[in-house]
Amino acid sequence: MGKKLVVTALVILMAVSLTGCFDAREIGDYAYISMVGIDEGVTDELRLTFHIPEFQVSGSGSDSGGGGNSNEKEKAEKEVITLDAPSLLSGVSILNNSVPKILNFMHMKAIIISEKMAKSGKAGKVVTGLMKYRQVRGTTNIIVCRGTAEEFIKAFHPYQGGLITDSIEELVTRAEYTGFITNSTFMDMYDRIKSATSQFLAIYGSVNDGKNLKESRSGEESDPESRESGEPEEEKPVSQNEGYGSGDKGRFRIPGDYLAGETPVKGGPDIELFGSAVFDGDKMVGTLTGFETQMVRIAIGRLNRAAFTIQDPLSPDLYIPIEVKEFGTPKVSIDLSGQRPMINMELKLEGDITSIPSRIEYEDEEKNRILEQAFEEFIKTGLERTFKKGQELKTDVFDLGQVAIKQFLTIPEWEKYKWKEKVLDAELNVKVDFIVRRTGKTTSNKPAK
Amino acid sequence: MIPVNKGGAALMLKFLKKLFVYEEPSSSDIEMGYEFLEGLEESMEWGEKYGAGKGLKNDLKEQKDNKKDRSGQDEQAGSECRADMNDRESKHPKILIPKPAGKATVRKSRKQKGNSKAEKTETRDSGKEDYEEHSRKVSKSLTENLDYLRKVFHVPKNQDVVIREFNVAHKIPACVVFIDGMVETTIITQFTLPQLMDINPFRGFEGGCALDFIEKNVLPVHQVERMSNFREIIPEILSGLTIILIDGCDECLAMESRGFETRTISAPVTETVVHGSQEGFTENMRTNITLVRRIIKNENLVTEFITVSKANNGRAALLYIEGLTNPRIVKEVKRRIESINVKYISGSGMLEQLIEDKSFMIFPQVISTERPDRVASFLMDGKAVLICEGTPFALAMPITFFDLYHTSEESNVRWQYGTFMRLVRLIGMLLAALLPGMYTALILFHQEMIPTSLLSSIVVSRAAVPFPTIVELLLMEFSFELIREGGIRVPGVTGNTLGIIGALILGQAAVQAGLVSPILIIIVAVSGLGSFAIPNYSLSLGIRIIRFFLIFFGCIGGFYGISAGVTILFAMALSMKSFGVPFFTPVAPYASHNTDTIIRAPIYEQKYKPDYLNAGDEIQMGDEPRGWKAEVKQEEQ
Amino acid sequence: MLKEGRFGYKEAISLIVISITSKVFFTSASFVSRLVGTAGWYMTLVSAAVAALFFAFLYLLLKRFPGKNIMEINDIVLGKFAGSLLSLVLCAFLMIIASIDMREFTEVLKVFVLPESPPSFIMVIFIISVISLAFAGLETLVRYSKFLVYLLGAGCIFVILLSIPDFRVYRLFPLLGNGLGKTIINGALRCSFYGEAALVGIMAASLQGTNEIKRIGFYSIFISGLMTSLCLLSFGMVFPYSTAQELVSPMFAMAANVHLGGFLQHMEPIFVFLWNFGSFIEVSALFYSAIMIYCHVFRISDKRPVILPMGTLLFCLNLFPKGIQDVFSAYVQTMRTWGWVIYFLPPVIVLIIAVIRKKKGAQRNG
Repeated sequence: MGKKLVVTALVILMAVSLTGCFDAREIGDYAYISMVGIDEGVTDELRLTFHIPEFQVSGSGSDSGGGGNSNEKEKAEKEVITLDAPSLLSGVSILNNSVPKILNFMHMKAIIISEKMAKSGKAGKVVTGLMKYRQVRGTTNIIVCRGTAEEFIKAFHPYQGGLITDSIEELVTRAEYTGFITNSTFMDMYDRIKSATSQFLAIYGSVNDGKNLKESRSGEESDPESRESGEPEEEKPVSQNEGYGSGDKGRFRIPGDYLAGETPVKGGPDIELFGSAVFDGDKMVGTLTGFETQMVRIAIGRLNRAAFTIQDPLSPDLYIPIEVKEFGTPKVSIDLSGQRPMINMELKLEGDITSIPSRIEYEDEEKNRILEQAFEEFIKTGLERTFKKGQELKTDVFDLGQVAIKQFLTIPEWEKYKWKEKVLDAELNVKVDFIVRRTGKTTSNKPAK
Repeated sequence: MIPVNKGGAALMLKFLKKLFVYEEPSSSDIEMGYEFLEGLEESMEWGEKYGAGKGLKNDLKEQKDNKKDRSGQDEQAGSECRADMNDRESKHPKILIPKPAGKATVRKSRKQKGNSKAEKTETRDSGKEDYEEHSRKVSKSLTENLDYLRKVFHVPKNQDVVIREFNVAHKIPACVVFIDGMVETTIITQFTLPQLMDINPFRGFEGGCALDFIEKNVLPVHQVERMSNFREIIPEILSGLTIILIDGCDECLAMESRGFETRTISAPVTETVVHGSQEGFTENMRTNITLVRRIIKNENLVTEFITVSKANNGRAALLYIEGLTNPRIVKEVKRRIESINVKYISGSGMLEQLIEDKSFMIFPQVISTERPDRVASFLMDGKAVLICEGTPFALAMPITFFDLYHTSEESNVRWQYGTFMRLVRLIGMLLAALLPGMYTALILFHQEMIPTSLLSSIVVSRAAVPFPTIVELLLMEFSFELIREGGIRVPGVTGNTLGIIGALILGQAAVQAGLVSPILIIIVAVSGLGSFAIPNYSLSLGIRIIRFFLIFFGCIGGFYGISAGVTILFAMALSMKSFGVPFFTPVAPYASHNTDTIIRAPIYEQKYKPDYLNAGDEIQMGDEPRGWKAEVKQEEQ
Repeated sequence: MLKEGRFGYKEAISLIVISITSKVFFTSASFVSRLVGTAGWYMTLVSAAVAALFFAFLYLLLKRFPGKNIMEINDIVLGKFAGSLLSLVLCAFLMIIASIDMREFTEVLKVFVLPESPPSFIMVIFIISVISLAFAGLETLVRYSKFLVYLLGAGCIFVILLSIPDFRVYRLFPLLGNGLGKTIINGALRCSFYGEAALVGIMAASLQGTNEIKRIGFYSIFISGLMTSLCLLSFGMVFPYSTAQELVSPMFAMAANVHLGGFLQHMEPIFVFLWNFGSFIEVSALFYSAIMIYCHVFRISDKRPVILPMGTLLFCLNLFPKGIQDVFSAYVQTMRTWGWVIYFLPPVIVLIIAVIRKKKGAQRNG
């Protein structure tokens, strides 16, 4: 009897412990997908592109740089897999039969959606449906890319060796430094697509193979983008050239007034993230250039630092680069009493002048004021332009819904008011206050003798 | 059927019985709650294990034959034990009588200060029949006594015992009996025999028993004692005293003459400190007691000698400060030791195991220390200390977990450094217990919780390893433990170098061979270092065992399993009591205490003694311990 | 033989605070969002106030019969039979709540942490820990909770602090949520969130006087109300109400969203630990109280043989709900909305009857 009891106890113990490793998998058994691209599929609903990095010791990764691009291209081919599947889950399970490791999304950093998918609205639905999937984290970035996601992922190599996940993170964090993109995450997308308060801005990216760096100034716009993408009916990129001041036509561009893929850059990494894609609900309705995205960031109070170059007000041929920081969030007051909402925005910005090519002494009081006013005008125009564009696209790019909601007491009231429609008629008044804080290493500027 | 070890099966069976079989509540279910010495029931439980009736028998054959008889005798003795308890109860109505279930017992105050000095201590005579044989009185005839002694000591086979016969004052036959090598011969040769053999001192002697006269007028030895029962005399001879037997007297004189070789006082081996005293205990009990007395020069410091093992005639010294230490502790310790019925106790280690509350627990309930300054601070706190012959360790009880965790160094340095050291040690302890388990859980179950850059390093380093994680980890852990064990045995300088170099080289070689991943080496090394940081040897061993337990749980269920493992561990550890004091006082349960558990306040702010000991005098220092500061303040005003 | 022993007020407060606050880590937070929108964080304060009111009644009852626990009071006031029946109802209720909490825990764990383990495996490990804590006795349980309470509180605050970069105050607006009336009614109904304060009544024999009981009850409700409100406030600022009502465990999602640079990301481990420890203690407290009531009613002095069968019973109760949907919508919400009837109403009724029948407990000296 005693022995029987003991044996029973032991058996129970073993049953619990030895069968217990249900979830235990060796860390090397997994293949960690770092990026997923979603395109329109030909043979099936979706065309999925997975990027599965091969982990290497960080030293040896960069040695392959000796082989140059070819080596990287080979690596890219091994790491990037494309397939057609009806959904993400089926795609993964189909692929698991050819990749020896278990695929999972635990360390996925970015979801790339092609512009076409985004515009049709399907991407919004498919991606937000992923919310239930445990492996997809809320902090995954969402990137809308011009062209196909497959190309984008193929062209995305880790810079100077290292891990691709680090590269992605770094690129997106760069938004803090430049302001040209928003830091859009999966959680943001889910929240904003479904909310009555704000709309979603995704990061806009593209492959840039350096053809924008034109060699000669004269010459027609050869429009290399349409050649690249291979789709003849693609729209021309909407990048207006509204620089003020006289100057030659086409000569002064507002800095950053490009979309991804248009920046005149050659060499270096093949892809770039620039500008934003604007969503209204599930559908993408338009894009904002980099400059306009900066304006958005200023308006919502999330501009940490940015670099602007404006025309020198007293010598319009030359430019003055200014590094700008935001000084607190903008004060926005919204008046909802009338027919159209009246929005008053007051901003405070501060900046450092980094160089004055014209050698005009802007450090002294009077000229300082001129400079400040010029900059304020610049920002104001930019903000109004961006807001108007947003209204045309039928969206509230400045997230003004977040301010308006504070005037309502209960949720049903707010939802009845339908802010998203009302904001399209709204009028925006902007007042910018810019202060030059520092002028760099030199405090005055004497003309050359 | 799976062959199960008998001893293990018995243990299991007992445990399962507790689970399934209903027990009648014992009669002494009374004293509840937060005070130590929880109840006579616990003492009883303990008494059943080691007390009367469960003694070792000399004759194995007898054991086998009288199996039935013995169980009957056990019951009887057990019931005797209980009868004693009930006896005591009825004599002291202060102890509440249990009420039937359904009514709560009302208690008046939280603590009952023990003022039960009136309770008698019973000497447990039953079960000690074996050792009663020497109970024979000294006879007046010298030859009878000598014959008896020769028989007992197996002289002339046993050539250690020397019996030197001589005549006192040229007339009365007498002899000295001693053990060669244990006595300091000068005492006998210069201070006993000449004086006794000489006629001159005996001028005023009238006749009759010479002992009185000798003791008072002749013998210039500093410490003598009169004894009349061989039961006392023989252990004294064996300890190194010299016996003088005189014809015509029915008593004898025992002279203090111990002079055997002992080890000199050297630095403590297991508990080294940088900024404290460098004296440690030795194997000799008298030296150890002296070391303590040099630090505590308090007239209330009492040393009681208790006999521990009869066959060995061993003694233990119980030290406490009268008026400070709660007498219930002293009583309980004495009761436990006196009821030990073991033939041979080699030293404090065995003694510790015989008197602790629950030997199943993984943490020690009695602290053993090698340093007299720690012993002194324990005594001044109100603990009782046992010093045993044979090992250079002293035992102190009751203890809490924090006594195991503190060292004496922290009180010797300034409070910032003391706090810093304690924090480092706490982190080390947590690392030692938790790190391998957490690593296993993280790697096997929760890969998504690792930052991605760390993940890639781990994957890369594990790529070449042929074993699964858990096998690799256990392999490395066992190798580390082996190195540690081996390093102890290798003598001298080579021992230390083997430990360090061996670990490094082995680890490096294993990594190069592709057998383990470098990350694992770091994990195992860090957790090993953490366990080195634990000051108390028993505690560090306990933590090492806990580590394996937690690895098992981490392997089953990831972080969830580790939480479950920690819960089970704490369920056991927190229910532990050391002589009635809950183990994790003063954190849980809360007791008022100085700011001294982890962060140490400056010395002058630690005013109170530990609350849980219910010591006689709670305040450790006056209102203004730094008198000079008070003077400065006055001057400023 | 298990002794309940005695313990001080700090330990009791930590036990009750942990029991109450662990529940915020589960699914209720999203239900709250569904019911009252953005007003969750002060709705819980309303619940706390109502619970404190009910506790006052319990306290008055306990004060009338000093030194006795609620089972004995039931016996004295209502007579043996009715009193035992009432106590047994409470016992059954506690078992059911314990099993529902355990099942909720298992389901959420399966969703987030161990997706492939069968639920019975998770539950077996849980039950083993609960049983070992129950074996060790009530004193050990409260000591354990005292030991951990600072750690858990610090961990909770740490998670909240780490989420601060994600806070957007606008998400708390509109302030009144779905309407003030709804907030107050729901708040009042959901006071059974703080129902564990009624455990004080069951443990009353081990506490040290009715002053202590007053302190313990009110402080624990106050502290847990604050903590819960803080947690709901912070996750209300991280998720807008439209998303919050859909998440399985909003607090967990909040911890998962922490992303401060390359290293401080994927912070769920902290959270998993907090939540596991809290749940173990909570379910053990409920389980042990149920056992205490049972043993009192049937006059069993030695609890140990009862623990194992009750544990098995708990395990079987766990298997009732079909799946996660059942657990959330049906069981948890029913219990949360109507639990106060069994937690808080009986002491009120018993108090009224005691006043009517003029029963009083013996006064103690000192």
